[in-house]
Amino acid sequence: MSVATLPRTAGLVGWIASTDHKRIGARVATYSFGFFLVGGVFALLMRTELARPGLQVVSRDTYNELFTMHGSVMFFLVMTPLALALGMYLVPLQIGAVDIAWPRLALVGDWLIPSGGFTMLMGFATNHGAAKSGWTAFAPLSDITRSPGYGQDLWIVGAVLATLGAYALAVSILVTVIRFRAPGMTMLRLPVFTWSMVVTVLMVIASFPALVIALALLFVDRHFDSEIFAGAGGATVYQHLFWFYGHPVVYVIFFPFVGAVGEVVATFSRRRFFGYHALVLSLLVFTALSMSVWAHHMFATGRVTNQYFSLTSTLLAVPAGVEYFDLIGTMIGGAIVFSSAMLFAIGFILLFLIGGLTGIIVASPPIDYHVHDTFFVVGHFHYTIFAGSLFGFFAGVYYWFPKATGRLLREGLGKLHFALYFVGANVTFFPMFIAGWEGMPRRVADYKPIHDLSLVNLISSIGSGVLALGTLVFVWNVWVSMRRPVLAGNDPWEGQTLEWWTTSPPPRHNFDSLPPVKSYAPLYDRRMGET
Amino acid sequence: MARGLAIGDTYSKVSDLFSVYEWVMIVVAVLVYGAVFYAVLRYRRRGDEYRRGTDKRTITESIYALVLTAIAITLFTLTYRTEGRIDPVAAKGGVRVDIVAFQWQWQFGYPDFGKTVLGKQDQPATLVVPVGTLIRFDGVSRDVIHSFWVPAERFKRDEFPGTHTKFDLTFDRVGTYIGRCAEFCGLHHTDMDFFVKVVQRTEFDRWVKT
Amino acid sequence: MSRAGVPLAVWAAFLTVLATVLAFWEHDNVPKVIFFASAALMWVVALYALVRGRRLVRTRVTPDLSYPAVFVALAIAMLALGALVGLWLVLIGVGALVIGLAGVGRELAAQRRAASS
Repeated sequence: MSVATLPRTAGLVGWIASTDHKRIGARVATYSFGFFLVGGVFALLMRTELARPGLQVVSRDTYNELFTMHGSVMFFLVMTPLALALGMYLVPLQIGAVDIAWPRLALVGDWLIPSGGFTMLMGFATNHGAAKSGWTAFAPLSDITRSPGYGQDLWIVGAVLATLGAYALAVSILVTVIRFRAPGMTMLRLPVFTWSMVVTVLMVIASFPALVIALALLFVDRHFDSEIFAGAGGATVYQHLFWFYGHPVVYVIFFPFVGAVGEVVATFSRRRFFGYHALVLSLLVFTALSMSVWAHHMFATGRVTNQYFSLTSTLLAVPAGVEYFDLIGTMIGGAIVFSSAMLFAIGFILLFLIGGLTGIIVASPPIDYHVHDTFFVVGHFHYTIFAGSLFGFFAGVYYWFPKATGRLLREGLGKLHFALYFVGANVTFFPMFIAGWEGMPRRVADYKPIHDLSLVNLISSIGSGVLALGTLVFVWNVWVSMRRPVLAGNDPWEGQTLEWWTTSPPPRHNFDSLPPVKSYAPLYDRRMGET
Repeated sequence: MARGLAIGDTYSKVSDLFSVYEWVMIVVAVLVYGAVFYAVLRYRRRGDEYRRGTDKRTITESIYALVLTAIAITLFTLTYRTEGRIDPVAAKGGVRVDIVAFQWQWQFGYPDFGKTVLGKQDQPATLVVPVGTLIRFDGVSRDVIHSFWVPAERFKRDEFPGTHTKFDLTFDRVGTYIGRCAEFCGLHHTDMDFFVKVVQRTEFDRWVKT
Repeated sequence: MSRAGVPLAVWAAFLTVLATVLAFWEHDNVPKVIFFASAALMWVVALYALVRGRRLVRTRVTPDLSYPAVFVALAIAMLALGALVGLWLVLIGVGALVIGLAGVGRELAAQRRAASS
């Protein structure tokens, strides 16, 4: 029996070495969610500490480890892998392919990410503790003199491994779209979500090498007496390399989820997505622009040409506005169903806006001179990443969980989850704008009572408790839905794209047959009698 | 502790610019939220219907994109002009202050007068400056990157090791204001506060000679 | 020739335009070099897409399980950790990588045999 005809294996062995893109995607999503709970605990510890002035819960040193590892876990081990996992699972299904391209490369990437995660978290077990120079690890703070100890090195190795893993997943997804689209599935008939994945993986391929280079050079500086990042010039080079990755990555962890929101909005408005061609163009423009804005993180250094980066950053409002036009345009004239998925999608539209608008505010250097490195920025990016991307992620989960598992999630619990998250996100993150504007820097373990910041910090910390509750509701929902299943069938939502044509869950080869593909909503066309 | 009061030149420029942004953002938010609430109330599902509406409105959307571009360019132009009035440094005049940031306090020097103020963990440095006078700062770090931030002036600038950075500020209101380090710099980053004490010129002249 | 190359080329062109504007506006060379290097990489990707055709795949020939691929991942992790821990781990990693890649090679050869039979 040749290797190529090994039978499908269930159980643990099958899960470790399976080349099935659906299993790879599910596995990445599962361990990423586990890392999310870890990063979330770090956040709860920080918010508990900041609830009142004075150090009650942790020392300064531990606090510095907490915010470093919270950010690192969330970027390297949660949001980036989740974004790619969604694509890994869905892209072959949406384009009518039997498999992902280069599945072994994807499998390698799949195992590199938790290897990196485990490595960086091992820092907590070392003498000097985990890395504590921020998830950004700026030189010279991260050099061997100021950050001695293995924690920083384990962080560097872990971050590199996780980034290489993400790169592998991204390459595999891109080659799949280039080569394995079903007949009739032209580029301008790709579903909205698949398009969002295409531009996402383009950004990964273009920008992630900069981080690997930066961290490799940092490692060399730490261990080989070189002075690559020494002095102001060297420190600036580090920041250019880091942020060349560090800005696109926040769009990598955004676009798949706005794509999910697009699919959910179309399906639960019971009409085709509005403004498809405008959306495709805006995705290409938005992501290209996002590659050009990185030094807006460096406005306060006085060492870059602020005006260029301010212009490109402000122009981001244009494609973003076009996407909003298309999302809301899909709802207007539709027949809206308020499922849990749709609630999270609407929540995304309302709350990401706050993140986006505050982003345009910080794109102005004079204003940024005040709010850079303060809780204003922390509020801004938590609105985009939590109230934006993560809401979009849950919209996608409530939508696609039945396809992946064959079971529906409970709608009642889903709505409770949404309500807790919607309230919790605003209560946690809105006060941060006030705290930052009033003078609270970020990455501080404490603040003095004279700083007039006690009330906003207390409110913010209460909000974080609400978010924790909402997360537990979701975990409970998954548990209950798997233990006492309600079967979903092929197409519980009257979906529009090809993944709803096949069984839930799909067979190993994805499709037994395919309907004709004449647009970006083939099942919708069929239902309307147009094919 | 004065908070949110106009203490200086830069504060006014930033506040004026921020008010424009604030209003634009509020209007945008009201329009978007209005559109969403309209959609949600008017277009809920009532039967088993599907919609066959138009899937695109190219002209409307193109005009909309052009309007957005115009708004973005306008905001950028206002930003560009404001930055053009904040960033430049004067060649001479006023009072020179040298800032040396280190882990984890500040040293302020007055090279024209030969006076130095050195902060300590339990006694943060106080930067004394005369009101209504151009202060020409020259900042550097002794170790890692720090950032000199005076919230009441709405301004911060990073201090790098080795290379100096120059910026000018004017403080127009007498009082004592808090200063913070705003670039994470290690264990005691939290504790790197300093104070800015703005005094009358005569009092400054007296103090700087001591 | 895959039409997927067209939007990829458009994207690479966008990057090139943005990098060119930066080149005129910024005096420091470092950001310009980084941006142009990235744009060049994306032209290579676009070229790959333009040159490689679409392939209609009806049946899978990839095996369901690939232990060599998992082995390759562990090998890379050992190589990376070895940079920190010591040469001995790097060497073990190299060995594991060779074994893993050989295994993948065998799988690919078996696939080709199965496809042509």
